[in-house]
Amino acid sequence: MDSVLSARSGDEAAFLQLFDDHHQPLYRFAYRMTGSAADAEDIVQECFLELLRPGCSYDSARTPLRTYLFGVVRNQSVKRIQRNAREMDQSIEPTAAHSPALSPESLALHAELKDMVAGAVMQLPETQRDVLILAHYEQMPLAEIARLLELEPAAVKSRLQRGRARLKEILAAYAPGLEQRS
Amino acid sequence: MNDRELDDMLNQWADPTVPPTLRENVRAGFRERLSRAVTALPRPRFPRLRFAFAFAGMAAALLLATAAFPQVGRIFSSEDIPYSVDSEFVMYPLDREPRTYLTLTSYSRNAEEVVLTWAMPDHPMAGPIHRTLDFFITFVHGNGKRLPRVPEATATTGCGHNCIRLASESLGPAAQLLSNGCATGTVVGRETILGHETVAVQRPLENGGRGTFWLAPDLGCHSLRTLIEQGSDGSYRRIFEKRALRINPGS
Repeated sequence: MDSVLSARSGDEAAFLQLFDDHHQPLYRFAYRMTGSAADAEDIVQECFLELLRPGCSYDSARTPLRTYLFGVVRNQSVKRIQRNAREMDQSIEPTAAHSPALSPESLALHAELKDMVAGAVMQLPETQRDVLILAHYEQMPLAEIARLLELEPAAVKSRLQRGRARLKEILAAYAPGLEQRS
Repeated sequence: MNDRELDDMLNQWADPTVPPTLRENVRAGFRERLSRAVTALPRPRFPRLRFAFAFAGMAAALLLATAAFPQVGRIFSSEDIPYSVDSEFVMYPLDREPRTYLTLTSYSRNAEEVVLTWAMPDHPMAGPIHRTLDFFITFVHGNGKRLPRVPEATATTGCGHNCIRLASESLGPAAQLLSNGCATGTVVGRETILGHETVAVQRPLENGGRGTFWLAPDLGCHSLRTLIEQGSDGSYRRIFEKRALRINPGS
C-alpha cells in the first residue's frame, strides 16, 4: 500500500517514515529560501500535514512525492517571504538585522564568508533564488526543477544562469582576490 | 569569478541542522488531525444531488396529481357547492385578434370568488405547472394573504401567461356588498346575463386602470362579466374580459 495512503488512513509509522525520508532536504530548502529557522520549521511541518488534508491535490500517478513536497515548500516559502516583506514595509524603521536582503555595507560587516554568501543568495529575486538553491544545494536535475515550478527546462536554465551571474556580481565586491583570478 | 569559484563560495553556506523539535511537532500534528477526522461526523455523499432528486420527484408527483385532479384543492373540502359558473377570459392584444386564453370554473361564497379549476387552451400543461408552482410557493411562503378583519369580497380577474397565480380584485367588505345588493363603487348599469340580473359596478385598479364587474345578487355577488381596462382620464383600452358561458347547478 502507498505510504501516503497508509498515513492518511491513520498509520503513524508510515507517516513518520515519510517524514524521515524527506524532511532534511525540505528543511534545508525552506531555510535557504526564507533565511529563518523558525519559518523553515513551520513550513516543513505544514508541508507534511498538508498530505493528510482531505482535499490534498497530491496524485502519485502524476507527480513523484519528492517533487510534490518540494513544490509545497516552495510555495509556502514564497508566501512567507512576501508576508515578511509586507510586515517590514509596515514597520516604521526596519532594522538590517531583520532584513533578508542585506545591503553591501552590512554584508561587509559580516566576518564569516558563509554569512556573506547567505546574504547574497537572499538578495536574489525569489524566481532565481529557488532555482539556484534547488540546483546547487539540492543537486536537483533541471528537468525536475522545471516540473516542480511548472516551467519549461529552458526557462529554468535561463533563470539559473541569471541567478548565478547576479551572485558573481554581488560576491565579487567581497572577494576581490577571487575576482582578480577569474 | 568563474563558475567553480562561485560554487566554492556557495558551498561555504553549510547545511542547517534540523531542529530536534520538528519531528515531535509533526507527530503531534498528525495525531491532532487524526483525532479531528475521527470525531468529525461522516457527511453523506452527494447530499445536494439527493435533495435535488427528491425535490424533482415531489414536483413530478404533484404535477401529475394536479393534472389528473384539477380540483385537488377541494377534494378534502366537505362544503357544498351551490352552483358553478364556466367562464372564459378573452385577451385583447394590441397587434392581434382577441382570443380566449383562459377558461375557469368558479362560484362565489360570501361574495368571495372560489376557483374550482382553470386551464389554458393553448397550453394544456400550463394549468398543472402553474398549480404545482402555486402549491410550492404557498408551501414555502404561506398563503401570502392575511385574513382581513372584515371578510373581503373578491372577483377573479385572470392571469397572463407570465404569472403563476390567478389574480383577483377586492370589491370591499363582503357583508356591505351583500347587503347593498352588490352595489359598490360606481354603479354604471344593470344587465341580465344568462338569466340573472346583474349590477355593473366600476372601480379603479391598483395599476392605474379600471375594472367593471357585473355582479349577480342572486349568485352571492358573483361576477358574471369582468372587464379590465388600462388608461386614465377617459381614455381606456380593453386588456381582457371575463365572460360567463354557462351556469351549472350545485353539487
